[in-house]
Amino acid sequence: MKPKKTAGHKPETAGEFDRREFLRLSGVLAAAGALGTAACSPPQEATVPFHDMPESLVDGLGRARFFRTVIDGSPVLVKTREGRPILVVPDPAGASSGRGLSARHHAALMDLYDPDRARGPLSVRRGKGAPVASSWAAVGAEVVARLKTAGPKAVLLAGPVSSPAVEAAIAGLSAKTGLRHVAWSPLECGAAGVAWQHAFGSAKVARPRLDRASLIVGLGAEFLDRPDEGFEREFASRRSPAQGAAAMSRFVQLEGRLTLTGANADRRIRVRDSHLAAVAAALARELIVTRQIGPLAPLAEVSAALAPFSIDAVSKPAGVDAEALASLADEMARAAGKAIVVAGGTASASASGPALELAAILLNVTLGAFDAGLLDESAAAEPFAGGAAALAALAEEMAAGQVDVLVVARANPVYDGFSQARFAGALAKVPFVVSLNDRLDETSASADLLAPASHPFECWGDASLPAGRTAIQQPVIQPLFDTRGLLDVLVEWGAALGDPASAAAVTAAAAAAKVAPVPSAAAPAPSPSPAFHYLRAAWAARLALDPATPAFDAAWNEVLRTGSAFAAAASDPSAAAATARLATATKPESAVARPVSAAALTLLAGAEIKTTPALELQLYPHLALGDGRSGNNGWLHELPDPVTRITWGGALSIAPRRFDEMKLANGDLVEIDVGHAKVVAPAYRHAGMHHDQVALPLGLGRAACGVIGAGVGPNAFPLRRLLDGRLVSSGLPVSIRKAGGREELAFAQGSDVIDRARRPLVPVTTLSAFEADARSGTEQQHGGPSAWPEHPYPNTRWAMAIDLSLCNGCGKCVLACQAENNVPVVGRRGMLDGREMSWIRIDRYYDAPKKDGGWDAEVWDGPLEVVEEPRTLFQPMLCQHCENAPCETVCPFVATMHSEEGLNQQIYNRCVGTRYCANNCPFKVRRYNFWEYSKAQESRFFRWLEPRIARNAALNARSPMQMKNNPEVTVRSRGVMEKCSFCVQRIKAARSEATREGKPRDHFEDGAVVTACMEACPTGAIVFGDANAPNSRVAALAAGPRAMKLLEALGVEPSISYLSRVRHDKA
Amino acid sequence: MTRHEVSPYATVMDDGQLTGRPIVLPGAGPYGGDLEVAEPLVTGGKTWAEVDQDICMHAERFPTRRWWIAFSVALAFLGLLVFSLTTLFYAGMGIAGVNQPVGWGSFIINFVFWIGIGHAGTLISAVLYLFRQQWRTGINRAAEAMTLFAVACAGIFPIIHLGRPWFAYWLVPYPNARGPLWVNFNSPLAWDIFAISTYGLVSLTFWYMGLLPDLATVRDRATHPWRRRLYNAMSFGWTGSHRAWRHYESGYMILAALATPLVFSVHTIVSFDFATSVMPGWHTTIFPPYFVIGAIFSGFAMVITLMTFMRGYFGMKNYITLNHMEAMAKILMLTGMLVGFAYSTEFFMAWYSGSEWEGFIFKNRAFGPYWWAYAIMFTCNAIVPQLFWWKPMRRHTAVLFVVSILVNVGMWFERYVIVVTSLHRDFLPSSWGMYALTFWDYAILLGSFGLFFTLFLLFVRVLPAVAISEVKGVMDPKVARGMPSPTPLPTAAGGGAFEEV
Repeated sequence: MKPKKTAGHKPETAGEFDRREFLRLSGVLAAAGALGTAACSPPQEATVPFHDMPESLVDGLGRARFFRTVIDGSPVLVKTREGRPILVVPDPAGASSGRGLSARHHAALMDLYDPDRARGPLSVRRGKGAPVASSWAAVGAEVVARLKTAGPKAVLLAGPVSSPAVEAAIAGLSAKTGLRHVAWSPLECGAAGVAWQHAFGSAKVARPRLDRASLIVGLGAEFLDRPDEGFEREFASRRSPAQGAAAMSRFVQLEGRLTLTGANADRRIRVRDSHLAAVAAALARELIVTRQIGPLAPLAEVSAALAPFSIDAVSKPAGVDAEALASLADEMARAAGKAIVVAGGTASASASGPALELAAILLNVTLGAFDAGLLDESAAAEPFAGGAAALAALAEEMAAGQVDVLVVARANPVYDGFSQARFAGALAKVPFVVSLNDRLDETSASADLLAPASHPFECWGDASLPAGRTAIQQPVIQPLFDTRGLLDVLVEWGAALGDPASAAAVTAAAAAAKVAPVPSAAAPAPSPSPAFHYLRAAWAARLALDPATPAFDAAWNEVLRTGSAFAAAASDPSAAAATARLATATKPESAVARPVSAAALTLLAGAEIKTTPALELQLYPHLALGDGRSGNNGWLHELPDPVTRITWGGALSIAPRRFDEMKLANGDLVEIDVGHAKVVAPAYRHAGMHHDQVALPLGLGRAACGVIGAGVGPNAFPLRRLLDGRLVSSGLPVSIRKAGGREELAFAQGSDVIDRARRPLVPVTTLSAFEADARSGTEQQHGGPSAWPEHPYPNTRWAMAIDLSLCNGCGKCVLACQAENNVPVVGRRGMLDGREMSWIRIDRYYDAPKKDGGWDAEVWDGPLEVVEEPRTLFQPMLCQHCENAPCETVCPFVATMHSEEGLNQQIYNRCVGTRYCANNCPFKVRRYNFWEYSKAQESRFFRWLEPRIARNAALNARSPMQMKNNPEVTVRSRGVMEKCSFCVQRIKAARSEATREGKPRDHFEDGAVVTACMEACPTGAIVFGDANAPNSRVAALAAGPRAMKLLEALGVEPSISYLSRVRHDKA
Repeated sequence: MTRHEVSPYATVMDDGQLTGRPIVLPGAGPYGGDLEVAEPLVTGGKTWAEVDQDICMHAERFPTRRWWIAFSVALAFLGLLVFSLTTLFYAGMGIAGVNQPVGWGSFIINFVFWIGIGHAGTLISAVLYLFRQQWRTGINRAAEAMTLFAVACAGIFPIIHLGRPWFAYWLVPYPNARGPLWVNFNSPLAWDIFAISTYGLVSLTFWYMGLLPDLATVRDRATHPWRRRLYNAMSFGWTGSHRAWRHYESGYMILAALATPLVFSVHTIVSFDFATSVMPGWHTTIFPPYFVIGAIFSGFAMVITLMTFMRGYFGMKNYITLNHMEAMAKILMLTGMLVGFAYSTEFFMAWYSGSEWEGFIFKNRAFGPYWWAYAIMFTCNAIVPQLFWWKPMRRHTAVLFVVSILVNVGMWFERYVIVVTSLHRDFLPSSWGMYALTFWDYAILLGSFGLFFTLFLLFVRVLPAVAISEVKGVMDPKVARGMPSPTPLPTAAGGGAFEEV
């Protein structure tokens, strides 16, 4: 799109006019120009930078604005500076929303400022020839005309819709034209819904309350791998002795692949996905039938259904130690009433998934989890309608020519469909396809029209949260390109097709556009967005207020301020929404004698181990990329998988023993054959993997998402299979063979295994040892006296404490730091070259058990006895702000130095880049700008000579990517060292704030300064503050028995204390 | 004949006739015993005039085809250096192989390598001068030139390894408008600046001072007036008077005394770059002597390499004789054993210190992923020079040449081992990594040889590559005047030729 000319006069030749004449003419011309343009479009204004920055805008004085909004169903707080969103942080008020932030939410800015988004409507012409620019008017007219004629032969294929308003708008469209709505979510497996439907007659799955359980048994649970489901905080609430050692919960996980969740378990039993259901049934049988525990024990049907699943019968074919299962059953029996079983995750997406989920229900009923309130039905998620079966049916219809118009919205089935759907071929048979996706992706590329939807940060919407709450999605920036919000588009089309609610909204928007915007505190500024008016009307109904009254305006403003509200009818969140049915149902003496319907027990047949494939495949969502929607997001690609530590791509996880037997090396290409599809992927020796299972991440291998993510990793979606209306993505029979060739894996970590006897770098202990001696796990060699004079710190002294019992390794601190501190993306090549820039990283180690005579060199090669049953440790590693910092003494340019407040400061202007400081840093946390990341180097010759120059520019320096930069933090040039600054800009801001408000500036209370990593941490593992302040929390933690400062023998005296990770070993 | 004329210099020998053993004159001793006299330092029965001619010849005639070939090759590599540096400056450090955790790579390795090479020259000219080792005269000029060019090569690397080399001058403490902000005197990199610039300056002065009489010789032989004027200016109007010689000799002596401690200080301070850090494998007290010995070792190896060329290509066999080569081979063997001893001591200390980190680093050096670098280093530096226990090996030009090259390969790898293996696996296993040279690293390394040889070839073309006046000083005046002893070369059997009259 060509930029519009700035309205104003044409420059004249100065010599022909005198000054007055010139000014007069200019005035006339400017007025004429303004008049001429004002009528048809908003006035365009030239942007003139300030010569002298007004005081209110000077850094540290001007304040950032925070907006509450929602993205993909998770409430967030968006920080904006000068009208630009620069940071996404968890909404502190949203902690109770039952939703959490995933990596994708933290990295949403990169999606917003993605230069590869479509810049406006395009006529794609089915990929024949280059796309041609179109206009919204033309697109709207054509789509409306097509929808009118197509009637019920029109289908809207949408991704998961969490917005009630969007649903209503779609319903409005359907009512007028007969348009059908097909929902498609590539990661939805629906097994839990099936089991709950069978057992209780409702597919609403109750939400586990991990904060109330003393024993959590995970059956392939992935609650930490899917942080948007919001379990991290609840799980963490009882994981640290800081919250009371006696109350610590124990977590036992049974799983096939070492997941992030399993890595946080106190005990882990390897069971392959397809056998999990049988093992779960065996546990159920042991408790219900053998030990006669719980309300189900007297029921003959239950005993009969569980009969084939004795521990002895299951343990052998499943390859699980019978004693381990028996001891687990003991443990569960002892914890009855305080124990919860969590099934799910990818394991539920196996053929036996419903059986697994049902076994979990039986176990929970037996253990009294329902009675004890460990399963919260008031926060049950609405079941997902549609899914794989619907998509398959749609594809068939399309192929049969029964679909005339297909509208695709936030769905990309050409990429993420399963192979039976053969969606791409079916798409060709549809006469008219319009895509509302945000770019020319795989599906849009074969559409007729692309009407790009705005990023959620650019438009209005809403989202339903668990427990009857609805969140508002308010725009935090004007659309960057010529895009429109999804709701805007639907409402406009609805209006054109005669939907009354939409028509009213469009009329109101048109009226608002004519009124000059006069913002006032009382009434919201009128917005020309139809979605805005549509939402207001919907919310007026939700809040049961008349939209014309000031009461509604006040309530509306309150919603915008708080971000969400309960519907008027169900405004009491604490109301026992849990149905009476279940509360009584699980009690044997109650009227309903059969709590779980007998029909459900037939599902258990699916658990039986019949013919077992020699090797099975699990396809799990990539922890950062999820379903691959944000495939062009460099931050997400570069966020290391917490367990494998792989960036920029994915690999086939193979059990260490099998890996060694196949004589593979990390990165060797392997062909994965599931019968109906084949994929080639690099191999990875995945610690803790079940010997007969391999795993491959989903969400990679985008073909058309933009220059950043295209072609990164293998696309595993076609490997999935449709089975009985459910999409099976684990337990798939598979054969693998060496394909020849290599694809180097971009690891974000050097060595995996640590022998803590020799390198006591991570304080770890067990609960029993901790109770005997709270200092256990922090033992290390002590150093000699220091020759350096001590720093005095008369006032503030900044310090940090990191509780390793709380840290689950999710890596969101990494993303928050990257956004806050303008940390560039280095790309796959950069990671391979060892040039990662992130200021904070999560080191992941496998703890080598004590061995007589020590481990010597072989421990670093990951011996089988360590990596087959790994004990995973996570340790956030960032600049330790050492008292006697080795980096400070060696810099010849004095570019790094110690502040009076204990910060180890890096002065970019002084840094000439000897890298001596980085060499001398024992923690290797200093980061060097090997390239010019922040701006493109233009020489064509050198870009040709060194392609990495162009790649770095593509990753970091294309407009409008620079808009994501935090103006409070310097953007570093090449050749300069950088590192964690303890968010010094926030410290300075707090100091300015204190100055302005006349508060004391020598000490800061807890919470006055919150670093970006601390802010993002969902579990509160990171505590930062002024250690010299009275009642300082960080000082108390650092003085506590669990604190350990690393490498004491070196005498560097870090400012960061690590609190020991306490494993709950009391079965 | 008077007693003092009974001198071995009177003996006319060719290079090939030298044995490296004293000439035994049975019964020629003052009391009738055997007289052992050293073989002459200049062979071929050269007269003073011939010395002038042989040495100045290269500066006075159109270069030979051989020189042009060598010069073109060197110039091509210099061009590679210029091109690589242009790319480096444009694109940034990204093109090199350094990474995290290995923040220093080939540039620092090359820096230490070239500084090490630069040690032999001053050692030969100053220390051997003070110890009255007259054989040094044949090689000291070229060795000193080698020092200067090696220091010039070395000087490039600390600058180009900077992320923002255009600010390299900030390393120099001078009153400035930046605060004024001074360098950090705690940093060994700041010490390097002083150590290397001092060493470079003193070496240059010492070398140039030695050149003065010879420049005057060239001037005196010059036929073209401009050439005469140029060399006259370069020799500061040297007259050759007794007064000039007296001042010259005492000045030379003082400079030699000044330069001697610098030989030891420079590499000591370079070793501090590593020794004062906290990194296991770097943080050791053995580094200063270890580095100095290593530097002398590599410097002598480079001198041998260059002298082989000068003997072969520039016809200097009569001035740089096999005896010279053998003497250098002996030094090579001695220093080789010393570095071998240092390598072993490091292992002992790593064990004896009880430090987990240090113990690991040394195990990792020898048996970790860079075992091959360690093996190359140990083989080339500690084992190969053991060949020189056999005299024929010490006098075999080809063997000497190959060994000298191997020693410098080994010494380059010594720095590779120190820099890379210490950094690539340090305290936190999570941050371990590997290092590999890129195309540009290789290009710049080869390019630095291009620079070195370009300078050296220019040097042998325009300046007297052998110290004429000093060589003349160690010649037998009788032979040098063109009046060689009429007596035939004595043999053990012949005997009695040098009877005292």
